[in-house]
Amino acid sequence: MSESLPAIFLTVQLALVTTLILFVIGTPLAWWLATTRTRLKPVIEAVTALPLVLPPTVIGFYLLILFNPGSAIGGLWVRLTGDTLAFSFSGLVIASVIYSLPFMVQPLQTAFERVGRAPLDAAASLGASPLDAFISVVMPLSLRGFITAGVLSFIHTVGEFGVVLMVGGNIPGRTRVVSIALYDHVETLDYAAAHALALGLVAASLSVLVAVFLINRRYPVHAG
Amino acid sequence: MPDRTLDIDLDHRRGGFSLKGAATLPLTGVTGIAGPNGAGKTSLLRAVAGLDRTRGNTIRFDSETWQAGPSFLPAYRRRAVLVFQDSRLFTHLSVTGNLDYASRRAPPGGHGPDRAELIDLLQLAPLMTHRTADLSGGERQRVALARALSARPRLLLLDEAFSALDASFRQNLLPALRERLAHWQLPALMVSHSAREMAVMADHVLPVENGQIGALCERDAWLAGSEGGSKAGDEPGAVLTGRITGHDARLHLTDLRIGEHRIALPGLTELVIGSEARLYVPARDVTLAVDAVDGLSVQNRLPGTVAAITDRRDTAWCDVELEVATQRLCARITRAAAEALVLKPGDTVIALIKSASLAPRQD
Repeated sequence: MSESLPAIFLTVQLALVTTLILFVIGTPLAWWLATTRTRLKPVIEAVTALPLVLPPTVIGFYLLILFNPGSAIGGLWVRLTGDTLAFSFSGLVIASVIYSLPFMVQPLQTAFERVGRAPLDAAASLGASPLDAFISVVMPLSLRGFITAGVLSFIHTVGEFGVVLMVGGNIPGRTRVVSIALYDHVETLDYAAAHALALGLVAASLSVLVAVFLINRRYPVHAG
Repeated sequence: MPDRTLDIDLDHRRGGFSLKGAATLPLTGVTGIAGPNGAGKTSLLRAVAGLDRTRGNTIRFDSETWQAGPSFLPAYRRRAVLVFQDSRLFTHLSVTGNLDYASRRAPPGGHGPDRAELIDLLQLAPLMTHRTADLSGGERQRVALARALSARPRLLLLDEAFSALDASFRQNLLPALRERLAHWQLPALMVSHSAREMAVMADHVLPVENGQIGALCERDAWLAGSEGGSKAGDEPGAVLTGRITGHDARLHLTDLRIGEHRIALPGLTELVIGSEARLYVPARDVTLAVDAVDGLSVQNRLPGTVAAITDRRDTAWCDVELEVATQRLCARITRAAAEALVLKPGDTVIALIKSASLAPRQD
């Protein structure tokens, strides 16, 4: 088990950082999608949902090419940080953010659409600026959406495999996350270690989901 | 015309709906906005509130330009607070939380409604800790009104804001609110379907019909049905203004002095002695007598002079306008009765008003 600890720490760290970044990126994106009237909306929605349907290896493949130090983005990163994006933790974070984006954006967009214009009009009329109204009215009324989005993004990042394998490889302590460690154990026929990790993942995911459903039941937010 | 005015010139189109016309509204007292459903009354309030950003609208509040051409002052900087028909309380906050939300964003200092005053006016004390989800429709409207006033608006916009209140509460609230609005020097625009609400609250009435803004008229002229507004034309009425001189606790009546005369009314027991009361008297509830009559249950009798008689074409009715103690009263009687009594302008008559018709009720 102790040999699995670095992989577990790395996974939790990756999922946390990814979820935090997704909150920052996903909240304005979801708000924009929930309120925009542009004709481009279906296109942007489709692009946002793309990671849901694409094989993770496809995303991983393109990211690997982008992260190549010979490419514009990969080269810029090397010049800025002195490190390559491919096979690094930073690369994993970027890949995870893209891969888990729909799990953040879609619950938030649904929550924002349920809140609707009505309470915003009331807040504006009472003197709340748009940002003020978003923080003081939309966010509390969308609390369940935020919890769901955060948990789904976190769990989905923990569970990713194909993208990580393509972009991060399998470097212990650097890019070897739990799902890949598990794959390794099976490859080497170390079923005991594989069981421990698999069961751990199932138990952790299940308890997080149960906690979310409990919270949602106990603190229902009456929207509308 | 008062010097401070709200000038609106709307050219609003959305989908198949349009609202057009211009008006200059006084920024004193209450201006009623009347018209049938779908006429554009709510759109007018939303345009003034800054919640609809339709190009082509021009709105000026006193010397400030709120909207003209491309320039647009956003709703949150207008301090023209709209009380929505559906209340729109914040469901994640308690009643106190909703009031705090508004008062925290109100400009500091100055004079305006304070919390205790609003709790008293709208009888919110037992509701303060409630969750908004547990309130009835009428309670929500009371909280929404208190919340709007807590924001210390410069202009209050009321969209059917009293429709869910129970009748006896409304009967007492409206005169008290009117008095408070005058005290705070807070002008209001009020959309209402109720001639009674118009009569008690409004000083002027702006008719809106079929997406067209009509001409602003005096409340009494509008109520008498002589100007604009189909509703009042069908159901004329008049306002009597009197001073409250006493309450009779045993008989549950309030004494009101109108000029030399006095009448007794039910349902006004909350009003302070000495204060002014406005009474809406629908024309159909006024009976005329040419001589003193005995043995009638109707106690409220006001002598007056016939000012004008208007036949309602193609109906059995005519409207008799009376002058009573320098005020106007309107009676709707049949043309047959007018002929039988040989009524003509200048005749002295006695107007009989049934107290029950002045009692609070849903309308």
